[in-house]
Amino acid sequence: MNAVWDLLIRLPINEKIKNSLFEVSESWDSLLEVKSHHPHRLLYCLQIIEDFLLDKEAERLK
Amino acid sequence: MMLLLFNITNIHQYLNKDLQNKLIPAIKTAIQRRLTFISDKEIKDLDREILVKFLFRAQNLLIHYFPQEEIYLMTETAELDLSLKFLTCPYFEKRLRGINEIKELTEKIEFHEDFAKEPQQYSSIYSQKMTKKLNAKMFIEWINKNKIFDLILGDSIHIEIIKRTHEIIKFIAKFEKLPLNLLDLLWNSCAGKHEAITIGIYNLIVEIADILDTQGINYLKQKINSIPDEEQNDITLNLVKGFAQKTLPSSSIKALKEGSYEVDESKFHCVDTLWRLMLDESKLSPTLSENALNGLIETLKERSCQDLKKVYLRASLEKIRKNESVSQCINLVHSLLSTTFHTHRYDIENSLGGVLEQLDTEFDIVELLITEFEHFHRRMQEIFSKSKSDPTEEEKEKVYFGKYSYTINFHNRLAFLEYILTNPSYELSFSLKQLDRLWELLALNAIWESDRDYFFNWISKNHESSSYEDFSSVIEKEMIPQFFEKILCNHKKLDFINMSPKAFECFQTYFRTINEIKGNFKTVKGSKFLIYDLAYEGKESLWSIFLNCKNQNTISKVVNVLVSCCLRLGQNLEKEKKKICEEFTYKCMNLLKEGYQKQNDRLISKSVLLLMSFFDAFEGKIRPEATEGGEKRRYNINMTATIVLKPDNNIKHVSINSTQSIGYLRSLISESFGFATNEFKLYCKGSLIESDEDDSALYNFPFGGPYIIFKVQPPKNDSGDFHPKLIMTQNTEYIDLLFKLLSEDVQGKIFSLKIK
Repeated sequence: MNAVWDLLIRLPINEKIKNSLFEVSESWDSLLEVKSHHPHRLLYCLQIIEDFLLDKEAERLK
Repeated sequence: MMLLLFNITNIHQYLNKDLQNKLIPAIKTAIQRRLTFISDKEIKDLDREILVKFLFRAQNLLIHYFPQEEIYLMTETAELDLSLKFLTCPYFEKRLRGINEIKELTEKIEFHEDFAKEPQQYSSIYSQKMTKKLNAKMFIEWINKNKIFDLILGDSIHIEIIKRTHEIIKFIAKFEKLPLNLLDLLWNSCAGKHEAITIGIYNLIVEIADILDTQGINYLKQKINSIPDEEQNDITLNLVKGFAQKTLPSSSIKALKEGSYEVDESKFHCVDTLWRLMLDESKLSPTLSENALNGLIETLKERSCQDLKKVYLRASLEKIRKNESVSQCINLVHSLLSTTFHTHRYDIENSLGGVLEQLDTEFDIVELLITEFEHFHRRMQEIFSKSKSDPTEEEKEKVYFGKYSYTINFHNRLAFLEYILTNPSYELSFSLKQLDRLWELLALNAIWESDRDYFFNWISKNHESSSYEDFSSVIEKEMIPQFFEKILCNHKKLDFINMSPKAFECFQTYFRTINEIKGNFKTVKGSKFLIYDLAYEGKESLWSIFLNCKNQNTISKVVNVLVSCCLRLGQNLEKEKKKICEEFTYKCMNLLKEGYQKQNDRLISKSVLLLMSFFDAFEGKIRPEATEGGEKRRYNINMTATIVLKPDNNIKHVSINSTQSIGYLRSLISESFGFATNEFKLYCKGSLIESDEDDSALYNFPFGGPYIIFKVQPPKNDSGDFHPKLIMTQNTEYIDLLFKLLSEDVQGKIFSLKIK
């Protein structure tokens, strides 16, 4: 299933998931689906957040 | 004595007559005695130059007092007798000198004889090179009287002396018939002797074979044929071959009747011996039989065998019909047809086309070869049906059929069939039924897996050109549609499930060819193809192979073809590229969904592989398995390409591997300059690189650049920003499906994920 993960992260970020994270429309538990035991989804969301933070940092340093 | 002779020569004219009359005959007798009674020890120390000088002086002196002819005869005979003394001397060096002198004398006598026949043709300078009195008859008498050959070929026989005997025997044959007892002596002289002596004698026999009369030839032929098979070796075979070639008639021996294969074979000697020795029924080892076969081929290539070789072609095909000595007969026919007939048809009788036509009329060559192949295959299967386990690859070399290993038998048959079927001089082709029989034999019931792959490779070979337009294979163009439909697209004939990469390559070759023929594909630069009609032949089978095949290497190849069939679009389909890519993506996602629903891991893996390859190809990245192995390894270099944007002269550098494609370079340029891929034109060394080159690897272009780009206005309605990845990412259902697939496999595997 590594290949499925490779495929997933090769795709551009899903806008719907990204927006829901940026808008913090729900609780973080629910947004990150921590309780549903979907570690891949959690990882995917964390990566989106990391990318966002890195972009901000890069902007700040400019 | 030399001193005495020197002094007398200087003063003899001043002597009175009486003294001269007493002294000169005494000197003559003394000279004769001196030469007659010369001892072995003296011979050993004797300098040839001094001896020649001595004879010359004696001749000059005596010639004033005796008839010229008498003196010449005396000195020349003395020379001959001296050479005999040398030859019989116990010292080898002197014996060698003896034979050399005899040989030199034969040359001089030959000049003498030629001069006697036509004196006007020879100027005075030849007088030094010829004997004055000694003639051929006298010489031969001397040879016989002194039993020179008994001496040469007797107990003290030596190879260096034999080597110098050729000319003497040839000389005798030129002026007199060679006596049979000399031939007998020659033949018997190698009995029980060292190999080098035997070779020397056999070479001598071959050397003189062309000057023998019929009786001599027949006598030696009978001797040669009496060598038992068990005693044949490379040396005897060289004798047979050499004798056969040297005794060939000087002009071509025609067939007895026009168009007939009958030739007066009595005019040829030992050619039939070579034929007999190459056959399975001879007791020769395979190597020696091969040697005999090569000797036969070499002999039949001679001009005088023009009609005889047709006799052997026919005899070989007759043997093949009887399933006897097939491998060697195939080699003989193949070699004769491919090297000894001309391809033009001016001389129809002797043209390749004409001969093939004659043979085909009589033997139905293709049918004959397939029927024989079936027989061979059946026999091999019988051998292996007795063993409990499947035969291993090593056994292939150990199993013999006739005189040759299984592998040689197998390859010879296919090589000859290939030659026959692709020969442009005369059209011979498979019927569908014959093709099916061969397929049944070699694809469905191959004894070894490697044979099956060899056959797939054989049947897909394109013989003349890398372009599919000039496709020339063992299957004629008209037969290809039927072959493709009835055999290659038929899963009962081609095992889609266990398909090997070679089997798929075979499918792929004909898939491209049939679609070229039907105008669905066109081959462009670099033997790539472009698709002009999406309803191409074999589409269903291609997908069926993809879905059913279990061989991972084959699947990679199928994936490449499927992706190419989606992305390599001809100009007429370029506008529909977005739609085609969308449909392809949907198809892949549907397969992924089906895999998830049916819990079919294989289908999931295949679908993901297909999507990844599709994205790679779309982005211009060449996946390693998609490039040709050898080339890829040779040019696998990481490099930095310099890109210059004109006219601004803005320079950027991109890192790329030489095996990656121009399309990928284009995408890197696009990223680093911030243009869409259709917003610039790419030039290399002043030449525009068209987008149809995008699949080509970078090593096909000069390394390092600099590549020049010019910004251009993108064409309207161009789907430059489109990427099939967007279809997936914008569709939440697809993203959810990917998460579902991942969650199925989640326990304990999360930490093994490589997060990129």
